[in-house]
Amino acid sequence: MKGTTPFLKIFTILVFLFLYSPIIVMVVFSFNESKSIGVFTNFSFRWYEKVINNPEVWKALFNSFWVGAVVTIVSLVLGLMMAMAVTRYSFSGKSILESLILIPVIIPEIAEALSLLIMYIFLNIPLGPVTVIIGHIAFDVSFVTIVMRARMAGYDKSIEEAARTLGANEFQTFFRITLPTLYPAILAAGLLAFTLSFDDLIKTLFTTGPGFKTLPLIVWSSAARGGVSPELNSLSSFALSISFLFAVFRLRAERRLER
Amino acid sequence: MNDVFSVELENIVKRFGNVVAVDHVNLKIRENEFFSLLGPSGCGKTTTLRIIAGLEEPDEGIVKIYGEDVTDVPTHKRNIGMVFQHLALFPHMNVFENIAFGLKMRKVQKEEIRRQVKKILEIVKLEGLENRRVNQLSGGQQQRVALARALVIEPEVLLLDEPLGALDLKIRQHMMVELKNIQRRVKTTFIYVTHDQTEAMTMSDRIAIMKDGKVQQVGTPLEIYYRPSNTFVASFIGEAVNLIEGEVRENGLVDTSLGTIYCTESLTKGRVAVMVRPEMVEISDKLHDVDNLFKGTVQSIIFKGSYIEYRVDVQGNTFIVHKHGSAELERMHHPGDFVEIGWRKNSSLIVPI
Amino acid sequence: MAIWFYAPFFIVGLYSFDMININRQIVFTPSLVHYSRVLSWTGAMGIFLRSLYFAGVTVLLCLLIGYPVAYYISFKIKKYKDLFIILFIIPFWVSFLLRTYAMMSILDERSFLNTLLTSLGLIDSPIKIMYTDAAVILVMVYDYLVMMVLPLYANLEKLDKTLLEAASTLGAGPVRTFLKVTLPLSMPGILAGFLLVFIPTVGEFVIPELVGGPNNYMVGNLIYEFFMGARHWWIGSALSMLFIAFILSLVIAYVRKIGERGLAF
Repeated sequence: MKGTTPFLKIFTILVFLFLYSPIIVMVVFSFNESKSIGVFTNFSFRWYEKVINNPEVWKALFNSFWVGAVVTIVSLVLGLMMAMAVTRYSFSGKSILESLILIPVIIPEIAEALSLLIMYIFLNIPLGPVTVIIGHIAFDVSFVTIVMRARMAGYDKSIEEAARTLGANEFQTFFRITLPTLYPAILAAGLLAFTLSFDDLIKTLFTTGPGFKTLPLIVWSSAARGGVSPELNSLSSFALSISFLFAVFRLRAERRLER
Repeated sequence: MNDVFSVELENIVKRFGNVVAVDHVNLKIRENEFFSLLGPSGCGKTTTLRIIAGLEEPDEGIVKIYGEDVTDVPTHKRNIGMVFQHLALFPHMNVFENIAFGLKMRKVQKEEIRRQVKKILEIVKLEGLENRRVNQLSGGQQQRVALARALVIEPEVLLLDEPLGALDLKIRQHMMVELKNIQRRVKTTFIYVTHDQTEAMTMSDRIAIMKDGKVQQVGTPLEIYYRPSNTFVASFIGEAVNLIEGEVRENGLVDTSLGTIYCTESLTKGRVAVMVRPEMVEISDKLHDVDNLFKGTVQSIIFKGSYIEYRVDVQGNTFIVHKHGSAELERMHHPGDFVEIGWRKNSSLIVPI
Repeated sequence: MAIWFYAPFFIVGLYSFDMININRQIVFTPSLVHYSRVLSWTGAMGIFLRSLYFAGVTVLLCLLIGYPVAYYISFKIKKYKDLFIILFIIPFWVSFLLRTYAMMSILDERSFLNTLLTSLGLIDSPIKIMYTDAAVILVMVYDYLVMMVLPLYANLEKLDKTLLEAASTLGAGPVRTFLKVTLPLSMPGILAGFLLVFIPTVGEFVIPELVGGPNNYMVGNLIYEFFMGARHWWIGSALSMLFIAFILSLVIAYVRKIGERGLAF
């Protein structure tokens, strides 16, 4: 449709504008000197200083990182095992297991989070970092498994057989052949698990105990309490740059995967 | 012929669910032989090879390598090499690391590994490519790496599972000659699985033809081409074949719907098929010096380069006739022409049904 | 593994069937009383219908906005196609919460956008959109647009473009080619996009909480109210179970009809 091309072009540009402008406005106004969120007066690091000098932010950032790391490692090990089980072996109830893996991805997060909370209370488990981690893992494993399963579908099993004909036992085959060839998939899945955990709000919100906060929790509580503010703008921009960094890593891992 | 057997299969049976993939297979493969398992897809040839490798466990039967029962020995402890259909090169390793893998598993000294890899790279003509990544190589080069990797461990038997399938025709033809040369040089038993009869015929000392999990015939390429043991082998081997069913009347005579056909021998009695290869059949306006002669009409003619293929209708039966030689162009028959076809009695062979 | 994940739902299930009493003891007298209370309560029904309506409008807007974009990138961009798609995805690298907050920062009455529009004389007074239905839907579109565009784009990319040439050699004009060939063939992408946008939006909790008011609540907020506000876990559980069943049946219907392939890209 030749005649519609300019229209499509303008429309696409407008959509891109729609996608970028809120984020750009937020970042720009995080550097605003005045308290206004509507008029930019002068460039300043004033709000960043406030954020950086807030020990609560650093504590939350630290919490987000270590929770994310633990969740990533455990989810990877479990997800790899599950993905290998469903892609390599056939056993009774396999298709049921596969659906059971998929379901956590589609259940509304608020229902998941509150169910977790109810369970912890019912079982008298004290809330804190451990309950947060358990909650994250229970759901991230599904994502990891799905990503790994998709990547492993095209995996050529004969390279393992080749290793065995060359004299490698099962242990050597796994560590020298299977794991290294799956490395890009593991990296991509790991970064996904980390991002999911790092960015998670709802599950953390309902399964955390007193005093244990992650970065999204701080953003959430100030946004819910006070709405838009320049200080929150700079905190968000700060958090945004971290999410961004991990997204770039993930993209690079995926690029490597395609090669 | 000294009869040392490198691989022996005794009554091997393998089932997948209800399907019998390998059905009581018995094979004795001689030392340093180039042996092919040839058959259509799904005939059980690959499964048989994988049983020799230990990648599949047989439900029944015994596998012996140099007289030793290895049926329960795991793959990595059998001294075999294998080249896989899709090569299965390790994508995360370079050429050197791929080839050295088997030696490393055998805890060979570093210096020795380097020396052996260098030697094998010479044999497969890949000198100087040690540090290339495998995905930077051409199809033919990858082929050589896979071969080198399997050969460097000096296996007692080398198993090859349709390794040339993915290559272009020209490279494939070249690799066939190469493979045979390499086999002569390294002096190892090669067991070669293929569905391509040209590959099997070109390289093999002996061929086993398989169908539906059963071995149909074992023999040299010549035996298999000229002395097929049944009609399946007769029609599977060669580009085309003429088979006429009939009843043996007496030695050398078979009654068919086309009349009596003269053959050299007929040890069997009862219903048989008479086999005539298309290149044995003469075609002309008027034929002399043939024992079997039929009148027919040319149905179609296909120019195939080095020869011409005629399809000739004789009383409702189609005969395929291959005619070689450039002179034929001037005396070409055309569709609709009345012709005579025929052959000498020693060209017609009796095949049991 | 699966047990680990499903244990919470098992307990919620027990609550919903009235099998856990106020002292957190399991009692073996199942009852459907909480389900019947939820189902006969018009207030809950109203919120459920509102959620459907919000999610439905969001899906529709995502389709109307996303289709031309996916179409343009897939059909009209020759070079740097991947770059365009990455440029499209970049805003979605920012976490969901931060995206929502970024939208708040321009929807706010005091925001830069409102100041700009007022000073340009385009509007007399700032647009008061926060805490309305429109704000909830707008932010949901912003947050979930990618879920519509990516499956659509993947679908359009796979579409054999010679089919369009074939249609035009057979005498179909551009409009007819689009309506009779492109659109029907991109149906799987549209349906996948529908599901991928509808499911998270219908169960949305954060967006109505942040940019909506009590009058813009959705099912997620209602479940939250029962658990955390009213502390009536039995009704909250029954509501959760019903809602999960609703979403699962949607997905099962989709998978039965189309298979799970369209959802993974």
